Amino acid sequence: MSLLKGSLLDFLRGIGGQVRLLVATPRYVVILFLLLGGAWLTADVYRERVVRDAPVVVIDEDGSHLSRTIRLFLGTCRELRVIDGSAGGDREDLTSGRVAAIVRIPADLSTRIKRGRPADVLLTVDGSNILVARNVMKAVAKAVGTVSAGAELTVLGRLGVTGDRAMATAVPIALVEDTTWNPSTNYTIYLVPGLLFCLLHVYVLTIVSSVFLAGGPRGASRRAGALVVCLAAGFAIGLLFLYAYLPRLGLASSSPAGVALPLLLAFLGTDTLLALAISAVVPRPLTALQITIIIAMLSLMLSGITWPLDRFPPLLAAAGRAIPFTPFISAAQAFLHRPTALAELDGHLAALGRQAAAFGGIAALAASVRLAIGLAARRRAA
Amino acid sequence: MKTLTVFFRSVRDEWTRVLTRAPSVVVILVGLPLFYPLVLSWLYSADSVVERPVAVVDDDRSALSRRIAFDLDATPEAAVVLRPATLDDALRDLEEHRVEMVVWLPPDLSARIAHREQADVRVWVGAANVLTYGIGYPGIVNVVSNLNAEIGRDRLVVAGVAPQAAANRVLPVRTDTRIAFHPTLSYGSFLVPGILLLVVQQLMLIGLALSAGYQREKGNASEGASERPWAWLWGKLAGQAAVHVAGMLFILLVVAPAFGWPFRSTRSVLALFGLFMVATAPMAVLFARFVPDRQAAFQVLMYLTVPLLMASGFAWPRDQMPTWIRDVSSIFPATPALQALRSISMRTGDLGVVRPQLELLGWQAAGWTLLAAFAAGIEAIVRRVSGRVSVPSP
Repeated sequence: MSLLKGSLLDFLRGIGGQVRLLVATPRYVVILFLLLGGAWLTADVYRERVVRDAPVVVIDEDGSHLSRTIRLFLGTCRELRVIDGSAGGDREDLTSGRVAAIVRIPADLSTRIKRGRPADVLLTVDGSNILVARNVMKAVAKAVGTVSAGAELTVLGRLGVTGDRAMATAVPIALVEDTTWNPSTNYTIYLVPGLLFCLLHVYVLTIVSSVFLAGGPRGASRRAGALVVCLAAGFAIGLLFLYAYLPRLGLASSSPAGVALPLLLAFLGTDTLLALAISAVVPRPLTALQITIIIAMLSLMLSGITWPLDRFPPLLAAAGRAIPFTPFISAAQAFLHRPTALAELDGHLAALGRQAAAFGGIAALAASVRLAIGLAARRRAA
Repeated sequence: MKTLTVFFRSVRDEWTRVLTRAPSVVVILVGLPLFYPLVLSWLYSADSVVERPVAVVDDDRSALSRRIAFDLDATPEAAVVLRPATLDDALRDLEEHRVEMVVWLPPDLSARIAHREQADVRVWVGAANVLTYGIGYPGIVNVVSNLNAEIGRDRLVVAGVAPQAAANRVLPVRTDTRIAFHPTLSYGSFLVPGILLLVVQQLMLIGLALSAGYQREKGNASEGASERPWAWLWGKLAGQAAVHVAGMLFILLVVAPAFGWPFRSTRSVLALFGLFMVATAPMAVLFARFVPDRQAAFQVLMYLTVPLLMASGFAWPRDQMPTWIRDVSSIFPATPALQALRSISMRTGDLGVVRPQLELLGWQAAGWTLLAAFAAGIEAIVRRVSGRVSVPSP
């Protein structure tokens, strides 16, 4: 009974000590500040959500009604900011990064169309930033395509083909797009949840790993208390991200708390076990911390949220799948963006469960081996 | 003891007491420039994203619908990996990430085309990953556009237009796109050079802080380090400089060429990295002054990487960021260095083009040095007044 009471007291002391450590030690306060501040900054970078107003020089050599229409349509694209061609538009503007693209409308554009010949609008785009380049190409193709379809409809009208028939001739197959989960191809949806939860992942791994450093709590009960605090701290910050940081950017979870919170808890619990396993296997606590943080820093790249897993070398893909962040962020992309039932995410939960079992098993095995070695050494000494 | 004596003693001791005796410091100084660049380069070695998995639900089962599926599969952007029996099955495949796009060819597709009516092809795309969306979706757009041109031309011929004239009349205004500097628009070449630069930054920040923390823990700092802690840190930095430069050269002259990461001019990139390291050096000294032990170096400084990369404008246009982020990020050398790197890795090897960024790096080098000197001055005054300091001294 007294053993149980003593363990319970140690557990509570572990909780108290870890709470003091996290909120009253300058180092951990700085880490918390960097986590919350860094997450705020990272999220705010994408506050505009979509690429807009990329500077594009339009050189209108034709000066016709048609070319002015193209220019007008380009000007209405949210992605583009049209700059008058007389202000520049040579290769140097592209090289210096002053403009993202140059659109040149040839002098014979309207003449060629009138004579029944096709004409090209030349788009030269700076490909060095692929994100801006893709958006510019899409916007210009859309604007020119719309004008082109209009020109074709005019020709069809002259041929006596009008109304729906004309539309069916100009565009026989209409592509109806349903951009599931991210209707406006919003970069906030694409990147911010991953970045925020990756920072949380780094934080939880860091504080759990730090429990085992010299000067940390001694004894299983105290350490268990400290680990509970680490888990609770990670969960509290996860809630802050889910229900304050993300909604501020218009990214409120589409699924109820009953879906998001169990996944968050499973993720953080598995993270705790990962750090525990590394600390149990690696004899030196500082080396264990270094390894843990190095794994944590690679997690974003290895998770597949930016670069798809099928393009990874197989070994790195396997490494990515072994990190708790990967199944969690994949599940988060589902439950954040569409109403999801917990049962639909059982694959992700199962992946986290397998990881947790593996990390827990490794930690237990390493602890048993250490215990056995300790007992053997004691026996030899006796 | 004179400042210069402490400095030179610290340079010597960095090699005799740290780099030859502290495995935890050496592992990071050697491992960071070896491990991270190689792993990241290997990760992105495919460079481009192609063949995005698509499910096609063909409820039409006509020659036209089979043609669409075949053409889509033939594009480099998409690969038809599933042909579910129902649309519900396909949407489940999309939700469970087995495919990234679902193309539904409705039962009346060919009948409507035969009756010269407009037909719909419906597409569901998982746009949560903008990168894969930007690859896969244009695949189906191109297939349908080409097919539209073909069908439209045939319809004009039926309406009495000569075949050649009909071909010219279909979508008469076209976009001729030339992609300058980076024609493949590949993701690896776009991202990796920037990360390599940040590895150099972390090597300097963590390397110095770790070494300072080690000596503080062990209590074996150079003689005079307690009285002249700043000279001691500058000496340590000078002692480590050869390792930092070796790491940088390994990254730029071995890793980057081995994986084909684009650098227009090696000389310009070396100059940029050199200036970046000069600007980062006083920042590293300032940070190391407040790091009490080895753990803190790791626990704290790792958090700088992601926010600095995001706020630098390397990927997301800086003019679309809030002013406060532009102001905060312009303090750090990574911001102008990453912007300049974007230019000289892709656009041109001419350093003249990135002169504003190089000038800012120069100002930052001066600014961080002054800040470090100011902090040293404040510390000296506090020491004199109170006889103690609040920051850790060796």
